[in-house]
Amino acid sequence: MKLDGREAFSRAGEAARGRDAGRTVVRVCRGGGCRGGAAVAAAIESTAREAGTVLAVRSAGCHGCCDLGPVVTVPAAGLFLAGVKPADAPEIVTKVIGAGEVPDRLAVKDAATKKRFAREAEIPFLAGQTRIGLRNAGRIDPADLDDAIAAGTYGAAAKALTTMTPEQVIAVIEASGLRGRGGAGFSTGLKWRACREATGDDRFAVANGTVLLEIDPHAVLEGLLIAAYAVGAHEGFVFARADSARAVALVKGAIETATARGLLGERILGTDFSFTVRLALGGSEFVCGESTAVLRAIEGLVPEPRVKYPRSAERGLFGRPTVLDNSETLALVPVVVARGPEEFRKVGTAESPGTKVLNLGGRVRQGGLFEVPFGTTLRTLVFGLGGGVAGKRRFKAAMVGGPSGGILGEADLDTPLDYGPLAARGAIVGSGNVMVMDDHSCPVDVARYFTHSLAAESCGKCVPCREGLHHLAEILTRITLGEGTPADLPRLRALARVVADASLCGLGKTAPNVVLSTLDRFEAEYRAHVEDRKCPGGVCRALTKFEIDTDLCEGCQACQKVCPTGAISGAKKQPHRIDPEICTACGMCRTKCKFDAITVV
Amino acid sequence: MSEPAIVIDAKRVSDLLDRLPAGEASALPEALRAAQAAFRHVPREVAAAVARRLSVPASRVFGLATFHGEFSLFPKGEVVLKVCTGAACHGRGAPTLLDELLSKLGIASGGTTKDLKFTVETTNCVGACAMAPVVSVNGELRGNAEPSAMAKELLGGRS
Ligand SMILES: Cc1cc2nc3c(=O)[nH]c(=O)nc-3n(C[C@H](O)[C@H](O)[C@H](O)COP(=O)(O)O)c2cc1C
Ligand code: SF4
Repeated sequence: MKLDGREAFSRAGEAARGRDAGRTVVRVCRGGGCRGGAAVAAAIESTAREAGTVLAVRSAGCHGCCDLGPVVTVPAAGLFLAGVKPADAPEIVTKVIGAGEVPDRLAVKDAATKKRFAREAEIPFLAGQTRIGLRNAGRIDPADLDDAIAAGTYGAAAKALTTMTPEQVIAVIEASGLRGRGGAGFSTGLKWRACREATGDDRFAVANGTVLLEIDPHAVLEGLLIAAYAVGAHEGFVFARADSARAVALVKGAIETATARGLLGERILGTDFSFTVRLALGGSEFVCGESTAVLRAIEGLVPEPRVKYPRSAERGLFGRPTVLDNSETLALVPVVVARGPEEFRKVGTAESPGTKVLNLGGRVRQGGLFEVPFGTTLRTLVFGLGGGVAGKRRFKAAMVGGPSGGILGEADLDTPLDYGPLAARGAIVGSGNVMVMDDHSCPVDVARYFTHSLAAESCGKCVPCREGLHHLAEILTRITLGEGTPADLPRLRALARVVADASLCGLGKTAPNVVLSTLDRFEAEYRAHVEDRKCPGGVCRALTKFEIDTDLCEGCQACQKVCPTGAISGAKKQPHRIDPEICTACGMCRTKCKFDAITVV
Repeated sequence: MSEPAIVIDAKRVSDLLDRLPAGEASALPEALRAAQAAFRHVPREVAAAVARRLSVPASRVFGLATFHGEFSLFPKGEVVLKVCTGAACHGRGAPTLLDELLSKLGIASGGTTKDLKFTVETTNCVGACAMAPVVSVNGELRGNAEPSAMAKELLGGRS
């Protein structure tokens, strides 16, 4: 039934919150990464039925820590169980739900201290976050509108549409200092104002970016609705990667159900405001996320970026004024509207209020989505929340900002994660991806790898990016093969600057970050490659020779078992030896050695 | 053994065309996705028919069909494996995984086996970095395993 006003909306909220009264709710995550959630849910349900325990087993969206999945939560008791299997169902029903006792194996092991925690509020990597954009991550079923409404979603839109003018909404967003989370950090309020003030009869509002759509699609839709109301758009699109099957299905369903309930579509919540949303699908190529490319894709054109003038706010989709915001930005909008700009500014920095969702990965103990205030240091992220570097290795570098981000080293660990400080060190906020590298990595090879893949991603429209990236990749490949010369280093630097300065869109402008930032921090390693023909990280095969340190070797034969060429000899409990004639420097042995006995010479 | 072929029957083509809004250029990506889903590639004759239906030049159809990795002018395999090459996956064995898949199947990246069973491609960060290295198997994500074990599992008994 359509909700025809604010009162009907709040009644719907109460009804949704009350529907599980008298039953214990158990949530099983069905995030993209958690295979097996369905079987766990079924097992818990049937066990409870047999035991006569009254439960409401509901699904949950991704918690942002898929390596711990499937996750089962008991929200009323604040419990969070990881790695649950169907066979755990009896214990969950009797012990966990019945007596509040959690078996050790289902509690979350803290990566740094090895202590186990079952209370969500005590799990360090969750408790240490400030989840605002991710406020509903794992707490609602993203496919269930009632769950969203129970969590307060669409409340801010109801407030805006019924009690605020579009001007007031824009003023609130401006006062909050909200900056776009899609990479560039442009002021969301300014963008909305420009669109509202642009001449034109009708406008569009577009949501860009896929991650939040899988976690909380209604929060994104609510933000988009508020944006549309603020700028005066009556049509909008959610743009998602076609290959994200889950996000696509969730958004499709979310648009349908919200429209059916009168939260989107004609005369929303009984007001005069109408806003129709459609789903538009795009490719998985990196450039497809660039704002002007997104708009071209929706028009059915090849998604090549265009020059920024005229701005999309003035002439965007089908030539009409268009506001395009990242989905994380949009998920924050309702919070700003509901709680007010002052409250929003309480976390983060003065220049960048609020939080940012970061995706931590690579050689770190606990990866996943981490939402932290802007200004949190890289050290806190990697060593605090992430539990430090995996295995017994040491931190060497982190790539900050995604595939076109910059590489930061140990000396940068206290860098606040924020637009200005990151830019000053040659990195970006970008996609929010942070990849940690340990001392078994090679910065030159990392630069080669990402430059090579970005060269393949270049849409080819402009020469500096299309040709420049290929040339950079070629030079870097030569260096990693041991065919570089010292003259290559200034050449790399000069060319990288040209590509960064002269490219048309953000892809070409940021792609050289990895080259420039590694040259700045790891020049000695570049020199080792071109002058001594050595790869200190032991990655570039042509330049690597491994040896076994006989003092450290315990003779466990683990390396012998994995060596694909049979280059390692030595009896059990006797020091082993690598035959340099046979060894191809693949490095498999080094990943297996528990005693760090395999050294680069 | 003769090479398997994908039948382009007229009924499926006309069904596909009927569902497209005539003269609506912005429906082109949708048209190509439908063709790719139906025939595991965008056949020449379908591309031409789509161009007529949407009133766009054939060059635009081919332009888009060759821009996106999700479309192909030649049939893709029954199983399309997309190895994520994002930052986190790269650091956790994606290159090894890709190499193993390609060498086991004897194809190059982006290639398809002769029997049209497997296609192996790379893709950009799919956002599931915590379970790196990640592979999308006909759209479903798999991960969290040793690269060589994963390669074995993905290809089933085949080597
Ligand atoms: C190469 C490239 C890729 C991008 N990919 C995305 C993306 O996947 N999602 C996204 O929201 N923004 C992406 N952006 C940023 C968009 O261009 C745009 O700035 C952003 O979506 C605007 O929203 P915001 O102001 O809320 O950040 C990308 C930019 C570039 C240059
Ligand atoms: S910078 Fe690269 S991706 Fe961007 S428009 Fe130019 S060629 Fe295309």
